[in-house]
Amino acid sequence: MEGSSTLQRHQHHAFSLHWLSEGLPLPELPQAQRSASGETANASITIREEDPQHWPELAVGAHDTPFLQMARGDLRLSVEGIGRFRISNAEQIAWQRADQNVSDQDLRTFLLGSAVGALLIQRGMLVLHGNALERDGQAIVCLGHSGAGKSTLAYALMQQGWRLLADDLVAITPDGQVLPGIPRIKLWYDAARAFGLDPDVLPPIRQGMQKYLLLGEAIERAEQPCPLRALYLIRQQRRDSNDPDDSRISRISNQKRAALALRNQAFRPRFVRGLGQEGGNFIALARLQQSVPLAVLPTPRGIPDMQEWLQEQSLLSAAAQARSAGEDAE
Amino acid sequence: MINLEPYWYLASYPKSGNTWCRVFITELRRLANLDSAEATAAAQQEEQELRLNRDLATGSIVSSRHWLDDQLGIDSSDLSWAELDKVRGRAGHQRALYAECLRYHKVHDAFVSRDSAGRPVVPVEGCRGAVVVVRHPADVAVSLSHFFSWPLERCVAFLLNEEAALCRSGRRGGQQVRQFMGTWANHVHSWLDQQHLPVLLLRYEDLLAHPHTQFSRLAGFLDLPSDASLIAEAVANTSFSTLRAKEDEEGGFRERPDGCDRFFRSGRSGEGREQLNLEQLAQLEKAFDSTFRRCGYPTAATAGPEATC
Repeated sequence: MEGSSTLQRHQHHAFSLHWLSEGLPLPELPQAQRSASGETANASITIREEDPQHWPELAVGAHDTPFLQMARGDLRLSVEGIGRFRISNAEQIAWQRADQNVSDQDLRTFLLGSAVGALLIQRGMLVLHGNALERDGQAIVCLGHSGAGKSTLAYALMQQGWRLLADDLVAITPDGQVLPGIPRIKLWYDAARAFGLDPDVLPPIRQGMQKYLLLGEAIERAEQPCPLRALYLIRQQRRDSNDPDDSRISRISNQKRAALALRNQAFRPRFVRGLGQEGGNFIALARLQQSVPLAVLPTPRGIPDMQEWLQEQSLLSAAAQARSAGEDAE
Repeated sequence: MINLEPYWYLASYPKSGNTWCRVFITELRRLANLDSAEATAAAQQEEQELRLNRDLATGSIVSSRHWLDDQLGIDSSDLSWAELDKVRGRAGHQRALYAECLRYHKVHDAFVSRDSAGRPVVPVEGCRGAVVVVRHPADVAVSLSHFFSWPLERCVAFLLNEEAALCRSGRRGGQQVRQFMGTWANHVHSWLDQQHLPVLLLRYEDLLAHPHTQFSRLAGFLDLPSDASLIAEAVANTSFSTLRAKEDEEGGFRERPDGCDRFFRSGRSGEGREQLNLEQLAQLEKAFDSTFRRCGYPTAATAGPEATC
């Protein structure tokens, strides 16, 4: 396929960037709009197939793993059985399938997560691992590691009138604006069922997996950058807890703890280190920590309980108004 | 990447004394002044962030998604269990960024899984050895029933199930990946028979009956100080009654699941023989006969006082 002039060009707009994908459709990303005013995104990113044999050799980096090689401005990712990716010079994502049985969907799953994340990091953006929601033109960001319940929370908030700004990858500008990112949510089978959705009619994230994609019409999305008002760390409540403090939103005001917590919620801190972006990232995190309140969001287990609990919260202001927990409490 | 830092595994079927060993290691290192207060605090803070072992500072569980995501550079939940088991063994050791005390990793996986194509499910490069802790499966059944709030019958079936795994659902997320175990015997053999890592086999029953000798063996295997007075103090400070009292005092141990009254519950051995019915005991003995012999547990043929390993 390489070198063919018949490759279809897919143009998209996300993270205030223009994305041009040659040959690989990216239905998860919003279409690029050609506005009459001639307004254009501030940069263009190219996504294309390449033979890794043409990629320059990289010296072994201190932060490399058997799956990742990194240098300033260059990141290589291998996903066994899926393919290889190279993200370079803050403007290009190259990919190659492991074999012809790898579907576009398989490629996209990893391209739109790690590869796009690496590219945003190369561009010096502050990238957090979480999701961003908008209400009244203002944003909150909910953070949590894999398995913390981020997507379930995002979908529950969307049902309560919030609009989705970004899922998984959240990019924040130096002046505290959250950029509209990838408007899709990935829900596990159990969560989809609990929300009353029928998994049989939803597209799986990959063939054979019981995790599903909600996109397009299924998503209420926010399309403009919004000022960030609150940062939340998701903590699932224990069902058997008798401590009322476990179910209230508590501010993390201790500077050291807040810094550590935020640093741990960066999107793939290893990428940041390996790409030599740690300095800028540190400053961006410090700035964020000074300007936006960080609080623990103790989400009840079970979707009906969570929905009921969320209805009682005012998340745009709750973080700023919350009391701090004791020094030892989470 | 070259792993210069040594590390070890504490491998066991669940509810077999893994946590007890890790509490002992933390205490021994503390008594021997191996870790500064700051290093331990930093390590515990790190662990706390992972929400795994709030009271321990030994190193995270090998099935931690957080660690795998970091190593793989992707969201591990975008891979199927089968795809994941093929690559888990190639992940690098989680480097002890803050303290040496993070060098002892808990693992409940069998050494290889049905899906790992013969490859180890855990990384072995740079690993110095595996402490394999075994406990009589009848006692494991009783302990599992309290931990998971399952009836005993279900626990016995779980021990006998060739497909048994922890976190096996492919329908929801979680902070750990699936851990294939198979039957209790499959689990024990997978670790004892592997050729990649030196093994120290410890029996829970012996840790209870002869703590000084057995914990000295543990310390020696892990290159930790093992002089008698240190071991005696660490053993006393981590005795079952002490841990239980601490759990009460602190209002619960982090690894205790919802619905489980306490993590450090009884610690006795022999409860299985009191609580399982004869048929269930016979089922275990029949299915695990060769493993019982190997571990020195009495079988129908050898009924009598327990031999030691």
